[in-house]
Amino acid sequence: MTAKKLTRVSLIFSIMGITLIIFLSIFSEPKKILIEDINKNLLDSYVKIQGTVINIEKIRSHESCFLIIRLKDSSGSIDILDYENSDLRLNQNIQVIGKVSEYKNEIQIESKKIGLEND
Amino acid sequence: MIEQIIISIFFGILAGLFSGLVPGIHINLVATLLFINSSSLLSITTPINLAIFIISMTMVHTFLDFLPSIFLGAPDEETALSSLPGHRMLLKGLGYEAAKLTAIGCLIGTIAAMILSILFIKTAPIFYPFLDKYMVFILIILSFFLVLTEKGMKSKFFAILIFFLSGTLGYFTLNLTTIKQPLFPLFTGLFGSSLLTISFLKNVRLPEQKITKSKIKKEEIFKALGLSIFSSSLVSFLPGVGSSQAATIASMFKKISEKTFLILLGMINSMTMLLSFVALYAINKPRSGVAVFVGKFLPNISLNQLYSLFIVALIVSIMAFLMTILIAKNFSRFISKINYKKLCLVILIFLIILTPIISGWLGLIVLAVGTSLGIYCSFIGIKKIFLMGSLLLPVIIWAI
Repeated sequence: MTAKKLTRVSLIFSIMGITLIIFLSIFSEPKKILIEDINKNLLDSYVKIQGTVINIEKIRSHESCFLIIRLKDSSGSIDILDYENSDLRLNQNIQVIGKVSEYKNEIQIESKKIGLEND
Repeated sequence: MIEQIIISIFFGILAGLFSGLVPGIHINLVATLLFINSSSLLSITTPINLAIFIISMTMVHTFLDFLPSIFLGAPDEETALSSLPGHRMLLKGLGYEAAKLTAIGCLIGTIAAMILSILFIKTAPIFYPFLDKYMVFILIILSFFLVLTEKGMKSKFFAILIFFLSGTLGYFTLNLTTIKQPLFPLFTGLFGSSLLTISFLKNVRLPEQKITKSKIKKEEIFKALGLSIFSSSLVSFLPGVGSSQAATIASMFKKISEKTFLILLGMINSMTMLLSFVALYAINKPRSGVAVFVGKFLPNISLNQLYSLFIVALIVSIMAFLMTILIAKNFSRFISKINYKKLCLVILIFLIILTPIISGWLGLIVLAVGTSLGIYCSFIGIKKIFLMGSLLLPVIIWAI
């Protein structure tokens, strides 16, 4: 293959690939799991969980303002950090996609997307 | 107590040897593995020992990291730019000297960072809030300056194109929720496998490598030192800006030779690394992946702990310097004798196997796209640093 041809092929392939990744980032979701299955091995990966809001706490510091939501499902409960400050009520059923992280030895979820439960 | 410290340093050096010499492996990856297993490790050792392990690994990695990027043409994100002067010297048979110059830079940078830290601790709480407030503007201006380093309208246009293409790729890759360690396939593709593929396709043949003594004037070292102090202090507080961008921008202000550039790159690399630990103490914010983990092990790091870590860093740096020289000498001897094409292919296959293990199957798509964009960038002759748009653009978007 000539250099000119290779240049063109690599550009076309890059643009097609970037388009594919844009689609994947919009439409692909992690598998739904139970809260009890979240452990340190999942640190830094994304999970999808579903449950009921049992507590909402608003945290204000001079740098930021966020919610800590306690979410409970049939297997256990976990803290969700919500920097978007979603409008939520107690006992609401929600679905959360977020990243598993750790704070002071406790596993928590940094939410990326919070939605009302649909099934 | 003392035995535990020696054991931590020993394993840290081993881990640094591994992450520094194996192309594509980043210290953050090793630190993540360590952190996942930290609860069981903490039953046999203390947090400070884990921090000592991390700092030893970091220092060895910082020195050795330049070897694969000079000899194999597989730079990772921190040293992407060293591929230019480093590779040029390798093709002239001066690979050993290039490695030695970066190692000298690293060692001087380590010592300078320690002296600088005293000033840093005092001033960081004052200038950091300022930098934080105007971070987006500073990052945009820096990106703009990088574009200006390209000569001619056509090159400037392609530089902007590469910046935005890689930025889009980076932004959406980091947004993927079905991939683990997204930075691994992203950077391996853009900076590693793309160059390896080109070396493979282009039948690169290396000349016999010479073991030469480097003659560097004292003024050149001081010139590099001045530039590195300026750029490292800025970079260690900005997310998304690596040492290669710092070196390019610094070299814009003063004309420097190829050799001085390599020293400068080494200095900036070790300085930013150490200053990121100082930032952890001074402003309570980790500014590098490994500093994040030290911050997790030592949540309220004290000045005494910081200086203990520095003493370890200094001792390890001297050992790392000697190791780099020794390994570079051996690399130089055998690199021109072996089949370079085959070597590149073997490493390429290794990276392709590693990707799904670390990041999952989706990682392979990111790796393929990153590789092809990296190849495109090389073929149109645009500096690889514009591929750092993959990290800079997302950081700018998030900060707005």
